[in-house]
Amino acid sequence: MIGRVSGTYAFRSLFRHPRRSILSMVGVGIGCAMGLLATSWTGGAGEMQIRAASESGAGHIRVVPAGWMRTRENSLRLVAWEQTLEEVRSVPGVEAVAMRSRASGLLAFGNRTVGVEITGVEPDAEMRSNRIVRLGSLRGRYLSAGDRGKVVIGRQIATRLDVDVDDDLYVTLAGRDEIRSAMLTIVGIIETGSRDVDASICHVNLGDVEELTGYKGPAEISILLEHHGLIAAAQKELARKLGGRNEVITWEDVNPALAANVRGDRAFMDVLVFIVVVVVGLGVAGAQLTAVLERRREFAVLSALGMKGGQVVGLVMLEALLIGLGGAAVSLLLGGPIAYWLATRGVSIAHMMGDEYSIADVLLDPIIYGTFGIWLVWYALGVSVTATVAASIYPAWLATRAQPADAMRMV
Amino acid sequence: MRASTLSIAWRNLGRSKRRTLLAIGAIALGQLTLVFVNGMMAGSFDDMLRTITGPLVGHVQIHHKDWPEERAIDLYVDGLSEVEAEIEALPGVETVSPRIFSFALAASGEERDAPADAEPAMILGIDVVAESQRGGLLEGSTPGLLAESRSVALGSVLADRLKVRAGETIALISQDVDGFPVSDIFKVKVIVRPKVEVAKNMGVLMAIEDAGEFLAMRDQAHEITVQGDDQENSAELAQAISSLPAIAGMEILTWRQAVPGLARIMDMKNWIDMIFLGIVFVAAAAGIANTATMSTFERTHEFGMLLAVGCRPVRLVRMVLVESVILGLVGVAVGSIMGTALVLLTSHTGIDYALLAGNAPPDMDFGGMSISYVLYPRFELRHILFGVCAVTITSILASAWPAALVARLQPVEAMRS
Amino acid sequence: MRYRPCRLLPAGILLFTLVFLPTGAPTAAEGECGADRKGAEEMSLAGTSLLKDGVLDLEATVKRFENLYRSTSSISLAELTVTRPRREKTLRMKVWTKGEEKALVVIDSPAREKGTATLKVERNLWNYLPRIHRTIRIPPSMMLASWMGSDLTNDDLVRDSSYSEDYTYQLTGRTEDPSGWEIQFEAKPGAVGLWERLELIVSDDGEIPVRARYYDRKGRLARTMHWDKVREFGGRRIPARMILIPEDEEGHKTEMLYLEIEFDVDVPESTFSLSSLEQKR
Repeated sequence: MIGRVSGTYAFRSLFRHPRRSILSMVGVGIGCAMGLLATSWTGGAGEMQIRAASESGAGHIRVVPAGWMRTRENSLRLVAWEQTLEEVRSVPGVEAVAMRSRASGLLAFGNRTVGVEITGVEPDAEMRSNRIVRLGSLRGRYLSAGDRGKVVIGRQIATRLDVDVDDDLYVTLAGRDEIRSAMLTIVGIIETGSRDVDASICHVNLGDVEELTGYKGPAEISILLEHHGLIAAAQKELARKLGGRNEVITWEDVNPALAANVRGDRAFMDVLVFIVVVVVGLGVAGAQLTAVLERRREFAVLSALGMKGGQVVGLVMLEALLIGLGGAAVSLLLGGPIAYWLATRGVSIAHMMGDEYSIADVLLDPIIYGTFGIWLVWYALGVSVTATVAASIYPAWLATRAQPADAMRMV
Repeated sequence: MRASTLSIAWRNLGRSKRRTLLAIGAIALGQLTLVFVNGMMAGSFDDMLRTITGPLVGHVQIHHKDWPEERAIDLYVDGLSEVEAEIEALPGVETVSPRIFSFALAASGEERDAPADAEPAMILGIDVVAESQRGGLLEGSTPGLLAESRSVALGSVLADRLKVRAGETIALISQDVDGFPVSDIFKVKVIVRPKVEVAKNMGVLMAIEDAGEFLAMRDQAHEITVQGDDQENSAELAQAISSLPAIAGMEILTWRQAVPGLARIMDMKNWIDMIFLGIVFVAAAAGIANTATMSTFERTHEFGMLLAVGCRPVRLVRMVLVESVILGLVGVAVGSIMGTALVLLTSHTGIDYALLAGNAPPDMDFGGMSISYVLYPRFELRHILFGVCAVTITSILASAWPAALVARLQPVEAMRS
Repeated sequence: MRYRPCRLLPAGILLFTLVFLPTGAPTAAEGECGADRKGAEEMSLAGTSLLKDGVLDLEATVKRFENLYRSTSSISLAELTVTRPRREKTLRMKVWTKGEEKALVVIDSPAREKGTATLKVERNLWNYLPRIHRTIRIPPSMMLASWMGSDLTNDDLVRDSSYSEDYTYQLTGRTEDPSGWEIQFEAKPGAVGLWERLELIVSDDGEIPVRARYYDRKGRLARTMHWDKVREFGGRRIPARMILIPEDEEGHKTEMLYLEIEFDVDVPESTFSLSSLEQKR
């Protein structure tokens, strides 16, 4: 009985005062849309950094030899790498796979020497999964699948050695049993614009590292997933398949500095978003209070007519709920398209960043794509409805206090 | 505007206290939020700026022109004592901090069963007094700590790898400025966790005199950072320094030129903060507007009555405007006081948003320096002024347009609603 | 302010002394080399002339040049002088070697470094610091450090290129100043090494190198090596002093002067041990 009375009245009340209803919904909607956009933006900014880290070589997840995390020893190699590779490929959501190995050594030309970490790669896979190689400006060419005895170095190294494409470098490194040396012909010089990155690039074919060091097989398999949200699931699945053989780590383990950065940024922005939501909530509360206050006579009349306190409360709450739903709809209407635009077109912050597109050894793609998805709907509903309903509790209580005599009084 | 409008407006507000308080509340909340968020962002920006332009990079940097690219030990600034004297003589200079950098191998000097493994390390010869201040590499330590000759502070990660504790000795093997091998033992006085990543991972910090002695660089340094009284004047300071005779041939950079990447990251954060501020403002404004508009519309009946007894529409609108101005000013005043109080309070206690980031995260890495998760908002008068304008205008507009709408109605219609 | 640890490490400090050391040739398992070594010894010991009818026996000369300081084991006393624009420093050291893999260097003077010792056994390197009576192990990865400040290259350290095998060489004629024969070496395609070309001048009798000019892979002169102060050491007549001058560094020079060398002497295995490292004077 209560429900039906309240419900009918609530609906009709809303329709009878369209301006008030729409105003409320718009007010709630705008605030809620702001929260939506703020969250979408924050997610996008964090994602940009994760993308940068994972696509600059870390991968989303990575298979490494057991113990590598602790010691970071270059000489460690994967156990049963062929089988591991197959298992990696069978994990759902895998987009690109890159195998690598590393060795510390010296590159020399004439009188000049430079210490480097030589990275053995699979050229095609590296192109696909490492944006440093794909986006850096290249003099000469990158490695091809069959290349042996060829090297691609960063511009800093080329400058320090005073060499150019087609020059032969003398490389020495400590292999498994002895110190070995070989000649490497430069086929390409990469310049990314970041001094640190350019000083660390020294790519050769995986087979060359094998031959030079005497250690067989790759030292890591880096995996790019379709989306960073799949990381946790993929890591678990892969670890299960590997069954203790080798270890599966994430980009955060590979680059803890950047991971901390992402977390910190996220935390800061979360505080801001929280403030936005609080402001929205309080704004809604204010509006609801105002609405109830102005309708004191109306409630007084209802009370005089016999409506009980509980029904009045139900009435106010129900109205609030409807406004909340309407507000959610408005926020999706207003914020949805903007969020969509943000997610597809993205906002380029390139002009803000100037030339230096790298932070902490990763190459940034300076476009923020807002996060977009069904979560928007839940978010809008959640914030909107919660705010309006919670904000209506006190006004609802107030409404029950309206004395019938107030109905007669002129405001 | 006639006095009567004002008094009517005033009485209107007094008559419906709840409505008035609500309106003031919404406006105050908006202003409070703006002041506080602005304060947060200013504090965050400050923290980063202070970390960068602190003793680390300083306001102005001086070094050999090839040094940033090559970082070779023999690319130094010569005649250090004279250079320091000339710079210190300039007006507005607060600290002059020279540094020496050199790679070395470090190993524990303590007795072990087997020979200790050597680890790569970096010798940082620094001005101990300057670096013991806020933002310096030895922040928090007493300057007299490394007063004893051949005593060092070790970066925590390096100390870990070497398995060395404070009070023990380490051996350092290196090459001096001419390339000759040098080795010596040093006493580890303290383990530090400086904000600069490389210093934490590999740093062996010692007084620059000791480093100069060890590396045969007695009157030289690799890098000199100068701090003036205000980082805004960095360019002028750099200009003044470049005209000093002792500096001839050296490269002089302002901090923005020295670490352009970081400078740009800061600018970017500024932009993004503004966007967020905009979002916060719109949210607050929505609340204010909602409240103001709602209450104005709810008074349609009242307005109808006024129109019916002969009040001209223009006067009606004027009355509403005056009301909203009063509300706006009072609300902004209240909000400003509360906002300022909140900012001042948190600028002492700090806001620890690490709680949101998960338990005990490592310090954030910001271009090689750690930034902590505790934020100290800063108060600035212009934050309040911004709010005053924006918020007051919002509340006025939000009341004016519904009032104008109502004023155009027929009195009878108005009274009926 | 970011650096990479594997760049620019100074581990080469005492290693560069090892470069000039008499080291052993590969063991008898590599028959050809064994024969060469023996051949060189025979040649120098017997004092057989390298001239045939007034013309240089090129192959023999080159072989001798390569094996000038080679021996299965040795004990020597040498002075290493490094000259830089600002100053110069001389280290005197006693050196024991066995084969290619074992070497012990103990510094004798100046006083500050006296007693400092380095032991190399295969890939392992240890450094003894007398001031604290401690031995430090330098991991293999750090052995291969950039030789910043030293005039020597890692090619010199590793020394796995062979002039006779990796280069084609020819006699280009006689020279006046310095007086001798000039031999041009050119790296064979696919050869592993830093130098594309070498111009070597040997003495009139072909036995003593006098000067060598090293050209990098772009054909630029990179450094010059001089030999002089010819003496007899244990039956061999060889230059006691080598001087290395890099091309594009003003005022840089590295010299090695042998005061005494005993070739193929019996050096006990126990010499190349950690205890020996700490006790040898």
